[in-house]
Amino acid sequence: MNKFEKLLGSGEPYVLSIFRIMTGLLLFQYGVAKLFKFPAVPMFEKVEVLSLFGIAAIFEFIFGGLLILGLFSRVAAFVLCGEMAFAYFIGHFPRGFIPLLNNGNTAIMFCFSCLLLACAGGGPLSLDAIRDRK
Amino acid sequence: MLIGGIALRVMAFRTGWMPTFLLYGLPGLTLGLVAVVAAVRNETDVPFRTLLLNIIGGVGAALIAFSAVQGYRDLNFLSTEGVALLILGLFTRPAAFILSGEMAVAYFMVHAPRSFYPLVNGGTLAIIYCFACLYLSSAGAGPWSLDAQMKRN
Repeated sequence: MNKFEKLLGSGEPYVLSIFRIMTGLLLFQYGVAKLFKFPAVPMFEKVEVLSLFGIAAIFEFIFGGLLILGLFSRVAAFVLCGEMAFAYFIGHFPRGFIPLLNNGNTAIMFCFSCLLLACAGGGPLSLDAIRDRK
Repeated sequence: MLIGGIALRVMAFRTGWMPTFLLYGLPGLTLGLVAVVAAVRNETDVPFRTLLLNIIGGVGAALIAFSAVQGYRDLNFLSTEGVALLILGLFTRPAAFILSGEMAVAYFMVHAPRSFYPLVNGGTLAIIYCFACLYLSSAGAGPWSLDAQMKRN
């Protein structure tokens, strides 16, 4: 391993935590936009709470929030991973096989990011880490 | 291509489940290659810098994905195929680092001027690519890579 790679690898656990927070924030945003219409997006204007989209939004709101905080991050990431796989096969896959054409890139990316987080955990910057320390 | 490379890496990094790699990895790579070629061929009227960003992204992703494919092969492979592929395997971390920077540039150049919220400016994918590549650059390639084989040897 050369010097540059050592430098890149030196902050691994913290980068994992930053990655978790960003993934959580982006998912949380979808939940907030669907449930509370903020920011206003034309696509989510007519989403009802008790519909498929609405239930997905509740998942994203609760578990995305948990991911940001790092509380039960493995469980939250596992649930979100499943939700995103479901969303991809329900919403995007019927439109075409290639993700670039069926607009499913984001869903796939979220799915695999959450799979990684479910396996790797939340990292040191999380409530889980504080809880474990006690 | 980019998504194929990253998905492969994420799967390879912690799961270690070989059938996943065979089922999704190889078709994903092929499709990614087709998509990149199609994008380069059809979008002749896009600005040069956008095209350049796409090409850098494609090459970087190829480096990441290719080292995963190579890692799957036999250990004797290294001694027979020579230095070029070795370099490809060694560059996994820097490739991810470059891609992370590229995605950050793409976000601030293309998406950020449109709106503050990623949902409105359409930059969600760029952000997640950026941070996923940042993580890969710090966590390394995982067990299915030339890097890992080098250590084993």
